[in-house]
Amino acid sequence: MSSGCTSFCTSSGDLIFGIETSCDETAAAVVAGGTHVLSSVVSSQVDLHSVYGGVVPELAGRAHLQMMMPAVSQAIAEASINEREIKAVAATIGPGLVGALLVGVSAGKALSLVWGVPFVGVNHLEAHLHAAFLDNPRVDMPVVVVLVSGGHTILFLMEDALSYRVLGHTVDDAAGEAFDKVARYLGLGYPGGPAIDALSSEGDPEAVPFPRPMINDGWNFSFSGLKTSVISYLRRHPKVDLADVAASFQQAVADVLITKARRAVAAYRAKGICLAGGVAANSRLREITYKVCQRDGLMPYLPSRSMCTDNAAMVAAAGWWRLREDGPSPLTVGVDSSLALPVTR
Amino acid sequence: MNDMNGMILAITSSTPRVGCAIGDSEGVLAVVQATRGRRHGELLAAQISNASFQAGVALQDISVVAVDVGPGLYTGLRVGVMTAVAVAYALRVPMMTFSSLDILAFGVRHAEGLVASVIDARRGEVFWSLHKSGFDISVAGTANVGGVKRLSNLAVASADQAVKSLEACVRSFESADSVAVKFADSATGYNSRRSKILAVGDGVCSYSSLFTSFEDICVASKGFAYPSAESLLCMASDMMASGMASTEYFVSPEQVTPLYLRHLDAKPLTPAVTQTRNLSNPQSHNPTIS
Repeated sequence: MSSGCTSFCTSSGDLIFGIETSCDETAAAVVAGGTHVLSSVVSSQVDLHSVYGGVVPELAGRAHLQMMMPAVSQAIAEASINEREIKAVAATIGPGLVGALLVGVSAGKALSLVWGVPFVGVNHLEAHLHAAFLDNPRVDMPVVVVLVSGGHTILFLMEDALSYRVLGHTVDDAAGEAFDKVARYLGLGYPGGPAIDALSSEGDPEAVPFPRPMINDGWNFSFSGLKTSVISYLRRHPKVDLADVAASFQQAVADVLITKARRAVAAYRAKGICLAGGVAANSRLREITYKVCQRDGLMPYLPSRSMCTDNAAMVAAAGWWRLREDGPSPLTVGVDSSLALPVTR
Repeated sequence: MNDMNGMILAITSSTPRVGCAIGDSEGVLAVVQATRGRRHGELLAAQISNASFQAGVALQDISVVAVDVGPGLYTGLRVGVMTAVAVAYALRVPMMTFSSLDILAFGVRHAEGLVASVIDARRGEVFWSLHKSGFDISVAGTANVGGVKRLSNLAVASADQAVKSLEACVRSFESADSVAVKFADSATGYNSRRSKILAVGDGVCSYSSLFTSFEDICVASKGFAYPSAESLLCMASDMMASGMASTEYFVSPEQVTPLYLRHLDAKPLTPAVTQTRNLSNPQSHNPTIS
């Protein structure tokens, strides 16, 4: 199946064990051949952190340590496999919270030592990408990717499975950050994305004409100003229907993201649009992406909702690709809180 | 699984030192350790692999994993505890846990009298405890590993407060009525009047002028300042040879948790705070942990 590869090379159905602990989800998964998910366990710490209004790094580190092995056991049990069948262990090495990352990487390295299989350090951003391809093993390249999460907003061109060209990114807040901040102002709590999504379903997305920052201006994004204009609108119109405000805000974010994605598709003759990251779970953004792709004759690559947020299946999938491309990581590989996407050019 | 003469893997990571040792009741076969802070996550797995190679012991032949559960520096501590737990889980072997302060005291077990273990907890604080060496270890069923007994709780305090507490301890030991002194004397015949405390650990090095200003405290050399994997391995081995039932010292991996000794600094948001949140200062409620 993989003739001409080194001995480290994976064959197509190989089982990879994935571990993800970059923020506030403790996750473990078993994925076959980089696409077929056998199990995906996510233990969320959202309830632990919500009373603090955001993720507390030390609390996350403590919780990951307690939740890691139960997640590992469950992932093996749900996959109905023997751990001896696992061909490699992949864990997120960044970007993320250092203290959180170290827990998953320590567990991953230890398991790889005892199981006698390679360890593969995985880039969290690259893992998010592979979430979209878990159910689409055949992808027509190039694809324009909109990676949107609480920490990142990146527009890039994927020219091959592991080859990326960054076109633009946010110059201030990440899209997910804007969701969280607006939600907090609306008293919807943390995390803000799902709360705004739910409230928006009852609102009119055309009700308030919020600005579309930088929509016709290059490849970069800016969401700080949009967030501020939502807040000041709420101050000036205290009796406004909050559902209308939420829906209009969401629409503005989606408009900016998709307008730039379409422009990138035209500029680089891309064949599809891919959404990745936590904000890719947003209903309005998904709806618009589907519509645009249908109208323009493009392939939409949208991860299932459970694969948009942090999970270990995407880490195992990216690990499968990286192992094929680069071989195992050295056992001394460290974590990097600000690890960048491995850009090709 | 509960092989009394089993091969032990010992892991310590609670201070700037991270390391591991492999050995059994016959002694230590290999030790690999480094005292280079903030690299625990990079070094430990490779150290285990290397120690296994040096000892000529396959990881599959390990039958107990002993781990230092702190107190200490949280991030490094979690690297060691997570690694040890995952190794024990994957090997399906039991674990043994020891406190970093006990491991430090064990390292100077041949000193006479009182030993204060002091680990730098940063932010002006230390983790500390008081120990006494010279106990009889030949009595079957005792937990006086290495003849060292801990006399105090594991505590966290400002360096000033820790030194004051140590002074108070010495005074109480100078009193002939002290139960602890009688106990100590009956065990060792050691006269604790005019006792000195040997203070050991990187907390002593960080606040050396504070500790040396008290005449009854003498300070151990820097070579003993960090818990060593070798000490930990000897403690585990001694414990297994003590005649105690293995159920008294074996724990399963899911029971192992670090000794943090400090609560989180972060303050929960109150509903009122959430409502009155002012966007001109969006960072104002972000919790931080140093």
